[in-house]
Amino acid sequence: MSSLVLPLGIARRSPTFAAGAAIVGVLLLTAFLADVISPYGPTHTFPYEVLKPPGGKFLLGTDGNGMDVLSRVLHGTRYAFGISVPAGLIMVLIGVPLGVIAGYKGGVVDEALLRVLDVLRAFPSIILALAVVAATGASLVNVVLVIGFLDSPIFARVVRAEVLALRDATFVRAAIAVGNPPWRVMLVHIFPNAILGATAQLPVRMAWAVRISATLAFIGVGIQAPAPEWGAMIRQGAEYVISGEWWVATFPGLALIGLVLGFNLLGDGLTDILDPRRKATGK
Amino acid sequence: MSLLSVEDLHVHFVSRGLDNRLRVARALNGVSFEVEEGEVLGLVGETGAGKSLTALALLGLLQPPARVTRGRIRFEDRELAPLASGARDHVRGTRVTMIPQSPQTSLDPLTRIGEQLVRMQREHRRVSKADAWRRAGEMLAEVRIPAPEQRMHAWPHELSGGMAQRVLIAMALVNQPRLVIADEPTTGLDVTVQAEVLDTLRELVRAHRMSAILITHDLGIVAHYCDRIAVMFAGVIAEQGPTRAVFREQRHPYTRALIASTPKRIAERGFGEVGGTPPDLYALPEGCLYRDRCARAADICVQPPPNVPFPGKHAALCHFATEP
Amino acid sequence: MILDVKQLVKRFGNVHAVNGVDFHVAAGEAVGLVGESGSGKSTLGMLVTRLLPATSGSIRFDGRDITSLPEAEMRGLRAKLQIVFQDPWGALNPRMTIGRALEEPLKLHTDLGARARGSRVRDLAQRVHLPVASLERFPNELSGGQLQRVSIARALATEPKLIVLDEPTSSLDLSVRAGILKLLEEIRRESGVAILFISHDLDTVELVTDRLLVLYLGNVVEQGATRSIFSAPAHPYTQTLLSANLPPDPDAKLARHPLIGETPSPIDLPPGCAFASRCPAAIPSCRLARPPSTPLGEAHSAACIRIAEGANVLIS
Repeated sequence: MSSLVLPLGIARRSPTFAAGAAIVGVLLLTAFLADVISPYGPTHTFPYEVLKPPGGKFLLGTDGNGMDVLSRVLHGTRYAFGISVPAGLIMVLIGVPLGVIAGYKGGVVDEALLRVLDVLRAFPSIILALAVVAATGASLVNVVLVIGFLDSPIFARVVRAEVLALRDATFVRAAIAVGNPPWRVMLVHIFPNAILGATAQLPVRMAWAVRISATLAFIGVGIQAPAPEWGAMIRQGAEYVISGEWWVATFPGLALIGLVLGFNLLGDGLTDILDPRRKATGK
Repeated sequence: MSLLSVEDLHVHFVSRGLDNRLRVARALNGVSFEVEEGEVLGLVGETGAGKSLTALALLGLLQPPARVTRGRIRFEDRELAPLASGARDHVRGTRVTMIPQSPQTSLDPLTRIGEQLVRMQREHRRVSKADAWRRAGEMLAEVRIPAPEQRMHAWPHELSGGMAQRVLIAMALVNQPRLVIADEPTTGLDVTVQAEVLDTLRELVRAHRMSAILITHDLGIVAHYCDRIAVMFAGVIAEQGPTRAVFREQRHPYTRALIASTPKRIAERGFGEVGGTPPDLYALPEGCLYRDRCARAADICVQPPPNVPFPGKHAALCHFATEP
Repeated sequence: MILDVKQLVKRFGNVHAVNGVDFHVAAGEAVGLVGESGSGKSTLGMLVTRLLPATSGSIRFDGRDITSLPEAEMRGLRAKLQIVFQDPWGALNPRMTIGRALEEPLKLHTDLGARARGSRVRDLAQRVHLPVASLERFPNELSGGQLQRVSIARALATEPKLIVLDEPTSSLDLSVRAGILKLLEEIRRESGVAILFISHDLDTVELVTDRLLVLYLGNVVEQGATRSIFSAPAHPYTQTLLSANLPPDPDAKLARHPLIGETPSPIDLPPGCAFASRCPAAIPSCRLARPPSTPLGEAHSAACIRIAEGANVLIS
C-alpha cells in the first residue's frame, strides 16, 4: 500500500505531471506491446478492404493500401519513441556539457553556442532539418541524428541559463575557495544543480522531436510509407480527406497530438514538482 | 479599556505532505497581550516564533493554509474576527496599519511616491485628489524627507534605503491610524541611518498619540524605543512587561538566555548556556513549549505553565517564574 | 605576519569599492573589519581570498605574494586560507551531504584514504559540536546555526592559518549567535588560527577581535587595538558609528552624533576625505586631498587632518 502512496502524493502535487505521465506511460506501454495488442500486422494489406470506414473488422478503418489504421497507429508509437528517446539522449549528451561549459567558462565556447543559436533563430529548424535529411537520406538513424543535433543547442541554452544563475551562488564561490579546480566545480557543484531545471525541459524537447519527425515525414523527406510512422500516415491520409475518407489522416493525427500533449504536460508538471520542492528537499 | 486586546490566539497551518497525510503546524499557541493608547510594544523572538504571523493576524491578512483556530482580537472595543471583509479592509487602512520590511520590495516600482501616498488615502477615505496630494506632501515633511515637494515626484528606485523606509512610514501614518505595526523597520539599514529612522518614528507616534507594535530581533532597539516588551517563543508569549523591568530582571528562562546571549553580556559574564535548535512547529512538546531547550526543565514542565503575574503588568509563562 | 595588504584597490567600472587599503594580520590574531554598506568590507574579504581579482596593490599571505598568483598555484595555498560566508544556507551545495561537503577539502588537499578521511570528518563534526548523524543529512535538513557550524568545520578541515569570516552571525537568530561566537573562541584557543572578522555589528566585533579597522567608502579611517578604538575613537566617523550603536540596556545613556545627509555614492568619489560631505568637523581643506594616517599611540591611527588641532572630537 505504501508504494502507491508516494505516486499519489506526487499526483496531488502536480496533476499536470500525473496527466502527462499517464499519457506518455500508456503510449510507451503500447510501443512495447504493439505486436500483442494490434489486431493485424502494421503492413499487412487487405487488398479487397481498401479505404474501409471505421467499424467492424477494422476499428479505425483501413487506408489507401488496405492496411489496418488501428494497427498502424499502435505501431506508430514505436517510431515516435524510437525517434524521440535517442534524439533526447543525443540532446542531453551534447547539450548538457555544452551548456555547462558555455555558462561557466564563457569565452569561445559560449560565443560559439550563442552564434549557433542565432543561426537557428534565423532559420526555422524545420528547414535545416529538411535540408540535411534530404541531402543525407531519410533513414531512421539520420532523422534521429539530425533532430538530436539540431535541438541540442536549444537544450544547451536552457542548461546555460541555469548555470549562469548558479555561477554567482555562494556555494559555488565556496567551492572555489575550498580549492576546487574548474573542472570539479563544473562537475560536482554546477552540473548536479543545473540539471534539475533542464530535466523539466527534456520532455518538451522530446515532444518537439516527435513533431519534427512527423513534419519531415509529412513533407515527404522523413520516414516514408509503408512504415507506420504517424507523419507518413498523415501524408498519405491527406489525399483522402477531400474525398471523405477522414479516418486515414485523423487517427494518426490524434495520436500525434496526444503524445505531444503528454510530453508537454510531463515537462510542465516536472517544472512544478521540481521547483518549489527544490527548497523543500535537496534530493 | 486597552486599545488592542489579543486573547488566547491560536493559528494553525494545515497542509498535506507527500504521503497524503495531514500535517498541522501550530504556529501560534495562545498569544495574549494588550496594547494601551500611546504605548510602544516591542515584539521580539527568533525566526518562526510567530511575530510576523501575529501582525498578519491583527491585520486580518491571514490566508489559507493559515487559520485562526481559537482566540479573540479586540481593537477599539470591537471584535475584529467577525467583521466582514469590507469593514476589515477599512480598519486595516485607517485604524491599524503596517510598516512592512524591505522598502525595496514594498513600494510599487512603477508609481511615483506622491501618487502612492495619494492612493493610500483615497482607497480608504473620501478625500479629494488635491487634499490628498497636499496631505501627502505634509506627511513626507513629517517623516523628515528633505525637499518633500520634489520627492513627491520621485520613483521608488531613486530613494536610498533610509528614505524609502521613511516613505513607508509616511504611507502607514497618512490616514492617522490608532495603531501602527512596524515589522523589522530597520533591517538592511545602516546603523547610523537606523537610529534616525527610529527617532522619527517615535516622534510621530508620540505626536499623534498613536500606539505601535515594533517587531524586531534587535534587543538594542527594544531597549531604547519600546515602553513594553513581549518575548515570543514557538507561538506563545514567554514573557511580557515594562522594558526596564524585563531587562533588569528576567522571569522566564528564554528571556534570560536571550539577554545573556548579547555580546555585551557575554563580554561581562562570559558564555553561558548557548543556543538550541528551533522548535519544530509540527511536533511541539506537551506542556511548556520551551522545555526541550530549557536549562531549568523539570518533571512539572509536562504540564502547561501558568502565566505568573508580577507587579507592573509583567508576566512570565513558567512554572519557575518566581524563582531567581 | 600571516596577511599583509598594501595599497589595495578594487574598482568595478567607476565604482570605487576599495580605495587604497593597508592592513595586516599577525599569526593567531583576530582582526575586525567594521563598516556600513558601501564600506568595502565584504569586497576586502573577497579580495584577500582571491575570489575577486584586485585592481592594484599587493596581498602577501604567509610571506608569499598572492596578488596575481596563477589560480593553479593559488589552489594549493587555499588549504591554509579559508572563508566562511554570511549565508549559511547558500554556502553549501544543496545536493551534497554534510559529510561529503566536509570531506571535499580533504580530498583536494591531502593524500588521505577514504577511511582516514571519514574519521577526520567525524572529528571535525565533533569539534564544532555537530551530532555525527548530521553527516548523512543534506543542508536543507539543518538549521542556520548548524549550517554555520558546518561551514566553520569545512574551513578548519585543512588546518588553515587564516580564516576570513564575512558576517558569520548576521543571518542567524540572536540565541544562536552566541553559540557560534563561543565556538570561534574555542577554535582560536585550540588551534591558534588567525581570523579576519568582517561585521557591521559593533558589539560583536568588540567581543571577538583584538584589533580593528574601521572602513568608510573603501578607505580605512581608523585602525588600532579594539579596546583603544572603543574607549577613545579618534576619527569623527568612528565616533558617529559608535554613538549610533544601541546597547541592549534601557538605562544606558545615548549621546548620538547626528550626520548630515546619507552615504554618498561610491561612483566617482570627489577628491579629499571620503567622509567630508557628512562630517560635522569638516573644513575646506578636508576636500583637497586624502588625509594621511595620523599615528595616535600604540598601533592606533586615524586618517583625519583635524586630529592635529584636536578638533576631531565631536560633541553631541
